[in-house]
Amino acid sequence: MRNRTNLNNIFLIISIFEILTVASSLLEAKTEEKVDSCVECHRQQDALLSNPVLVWEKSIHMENRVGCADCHGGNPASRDNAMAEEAGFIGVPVPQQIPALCAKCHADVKKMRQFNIRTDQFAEYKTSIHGKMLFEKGDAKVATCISCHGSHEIRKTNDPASPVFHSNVPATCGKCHSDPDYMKPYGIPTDQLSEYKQSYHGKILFGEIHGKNRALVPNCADCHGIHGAIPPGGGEVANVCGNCHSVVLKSFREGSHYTALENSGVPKCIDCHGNHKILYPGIEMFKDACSSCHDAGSIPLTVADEMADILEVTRKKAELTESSLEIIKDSGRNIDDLVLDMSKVTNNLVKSKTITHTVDLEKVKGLMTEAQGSLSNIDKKVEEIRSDVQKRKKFMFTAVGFLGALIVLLYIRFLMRPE
Amino acid sequence: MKKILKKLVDVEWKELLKTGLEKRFNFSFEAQGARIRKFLITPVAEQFSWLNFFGIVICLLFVILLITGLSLALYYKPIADDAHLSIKYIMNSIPSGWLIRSIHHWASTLLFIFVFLHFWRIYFTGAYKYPRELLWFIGLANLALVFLFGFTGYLLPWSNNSYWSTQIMTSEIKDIPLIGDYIMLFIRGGEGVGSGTLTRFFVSHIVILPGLFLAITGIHIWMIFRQGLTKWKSVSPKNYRYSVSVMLLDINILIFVLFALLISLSVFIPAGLGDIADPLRMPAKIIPAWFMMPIYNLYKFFPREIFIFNRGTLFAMSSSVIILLLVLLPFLDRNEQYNPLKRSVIAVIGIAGLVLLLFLISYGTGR
Amino acid sequence: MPLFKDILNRRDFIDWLGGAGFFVSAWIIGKPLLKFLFPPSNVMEIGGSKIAVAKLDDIPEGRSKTVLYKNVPVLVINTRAGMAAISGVCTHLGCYLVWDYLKQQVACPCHLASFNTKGEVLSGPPPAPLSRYNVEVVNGKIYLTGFL
Repeated sequence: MRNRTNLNNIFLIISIFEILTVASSLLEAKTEEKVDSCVECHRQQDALLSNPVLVWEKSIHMENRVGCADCHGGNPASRDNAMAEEAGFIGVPVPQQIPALCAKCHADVKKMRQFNIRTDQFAEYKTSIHGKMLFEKGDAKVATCISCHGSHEIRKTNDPASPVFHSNVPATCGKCHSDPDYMKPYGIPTDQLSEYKQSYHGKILFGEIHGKNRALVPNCADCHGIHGAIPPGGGEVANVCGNCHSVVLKSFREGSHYTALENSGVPKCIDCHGNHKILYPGIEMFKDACSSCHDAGSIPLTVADEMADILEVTRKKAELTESSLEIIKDSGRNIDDLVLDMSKVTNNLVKSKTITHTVDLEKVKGLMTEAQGSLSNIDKKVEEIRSDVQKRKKFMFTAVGFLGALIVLLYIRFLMRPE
Repeated sequence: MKKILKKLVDVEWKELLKTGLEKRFNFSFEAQGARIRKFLITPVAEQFSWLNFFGIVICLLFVILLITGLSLALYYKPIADDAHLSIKYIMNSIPSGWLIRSIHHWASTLLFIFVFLHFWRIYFTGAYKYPRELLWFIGLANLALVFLFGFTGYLLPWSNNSYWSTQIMTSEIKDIPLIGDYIMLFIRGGEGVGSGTLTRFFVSHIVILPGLFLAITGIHIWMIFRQGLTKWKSVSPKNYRYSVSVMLLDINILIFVLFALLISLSVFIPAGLGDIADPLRMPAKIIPAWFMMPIYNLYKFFPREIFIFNRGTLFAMSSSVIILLLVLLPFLDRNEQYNPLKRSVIAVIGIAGLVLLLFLISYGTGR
Repeated sequence: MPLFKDILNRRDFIDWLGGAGFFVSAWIIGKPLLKFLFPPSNVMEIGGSKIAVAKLDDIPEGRSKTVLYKNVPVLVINTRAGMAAISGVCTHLGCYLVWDYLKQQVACPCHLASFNTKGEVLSGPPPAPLSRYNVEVVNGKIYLTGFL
């Protein structure tokens, strides 16, 4: 019996040992699979070499298991020979390599469909100024994918920390385009960013004007194109602006300025409103912008003056009526209906800003005459209320006079008292 | 049929009514009529002058406020936003609504002015001296009540300015040491100024304060009848017999003058109504009611901290001192002199106080 | 009422004048006060949290009316599914909205925005939907009682 027990014990010990070995080998195999020697090694290096790892860990590529080797090549499984040329290691890619490198995945429809990302970036880039200069002239100073999106710290475009987030785009473009020394060989202006910052669009984008939706204003890419960046051509400007300002474009197409644009290429939107420093349009545009093309004393300038005139007159009249409504607000008559009538006038005044783009004096006159008609009606009713108030004063004078007479009567009665 | 009619016509209805009432209530019209006639020809005290009319004007104004206020209360709705809308409705849609509300507004302003005039008259002519100390206390109580009337009434239109000035004034109360928090909670009916405050102020304004005011004024007038006017040479002696009936004539003239004044003020400067109260939007300039300006400016005058005392404590201490001095005035000023020209100390203090008060009312226009 | 022939001397005449004057002055003061106490019948009531803004007869089916509710224009629309009340101010640039009877939509005449009767943006530049108000119809009168 002792022998049997001993034998059983030995078998038990051996099987336990075997299970443990197999288990550990399985575990080892798993950890062995997860070895990314690039990350492991570079993380232990000093700042310059470890930085890519640290920022990559926060990126969208890390979340989707796009590792170092997917761009740089090499064999991450091997600890000793990860940066092997036979394994495809290319080191730090040169700028000319980068667009094709990114396009390896990002132009592959099958790969990108699951993430719902577009795949035409590379094709567009090739048509852009940046692309043309990079591929045809070999200029390595132009923007490539990593200039805007970053190389290791790539984030989604709707992440506010991304350099291509909607409100970060101007600063990203400005990194090169506002640097006069960098842009010297190209001979293009470098004031776009500073002008944009002064514009109405820029002020909304950078949060200086409140109450407006930042996501709706254009940044550089919205007008110039994202990957196929080219400044819009002469005939294209109206359509680019009209993407948002659709009703204005519609009005513009009805007018003589559009015919002129089709025939001679001017005026484009930017000729009157500016391209980067677009300010909120005011009545002074009729003086400044029109005379830049039209001669003094010509018919178009007369039309412009008349238009400015009637717009200003109507606006002033509306202001006066508005203030008179404010004054008689509590004079004893319900003025709700007058306030509603005033709202129709406000509508006309807002519409007039669009209609001026038809440069059709009759249309503007029609709108403003309608507004002035409503204003006169309101003024008439205000006058009625005022005359009511005057009537009250008359009533008061008679009442006070009567009371005065009574007081005199009482005094006479007092004088006639019996002693 | 004819007989019944004849019987009806033959009866002396007036006589029937007279004897019927006399029997039931145990009095006689003749006797009462004689008493009234005798009262009407009694001469009023010789020293009665135009100065003594201020108190009468106060009573007249109070009656006017009562009537107009009651009419307004028929349309007013004491619920947060509806209060403002109901007053707008009164001003714009109800016939003569603007007139009744404006009369109420101007009568309250005149009430404050005449209360001030009455107070200074009593002070300068020494009518608080022995034996009239109790009258003085009752009068001070009336003064406090009038202030409370104004304070509660100012919130009722629920306009942005009145909401925020009430907010500021009631939060100043919190700074009073020890009991400040409790007083503020009681006044506000909640943590901040809101619909609870409005209900409290409305009930105070139309039930509690009028009741108190009528009772206290009643006691005030009864005491005056009991003790008579102060005995000093009249300001403007009359050379004719000034009986009660002549005084009633003067009061009649006063009523007409008041009406004329109120109507003209209401037509030329109707009561205004600002924006609706918006607890989320504090206006750039908050101007408390003009009668609250002395208290407000006095509070602001103190620095935020001196030694261990904060502003509220300093304000509470100083106003307690002032109130104490006022209340104890009859005991501090014991000489028998009534003529203000012969009581230089009192006169100087009085004029200084008057100037200070006018300055405090007009200084600044709010934060 | 003393007759004129009873007045023999100036004093009684003055007394009579005074009496008449008193009544006239009472009428001058009292008439506005009396008129005040009787509310007008054709004016809309306000009260509690319900404010009457229109009569049901004013708005046929498929049509709408713009009213002022607490100083804000509100579109009251008689849709097939009942009454709807939405803010009458466009959330784009503040133009006042109109009801397009043919399309049965709310339209903004300034930049061609359109909303449905629930205030949701159907097309155009407005960034936000319109706020909706709670409507009650009682006894042929339309009441707005605050936000929905």
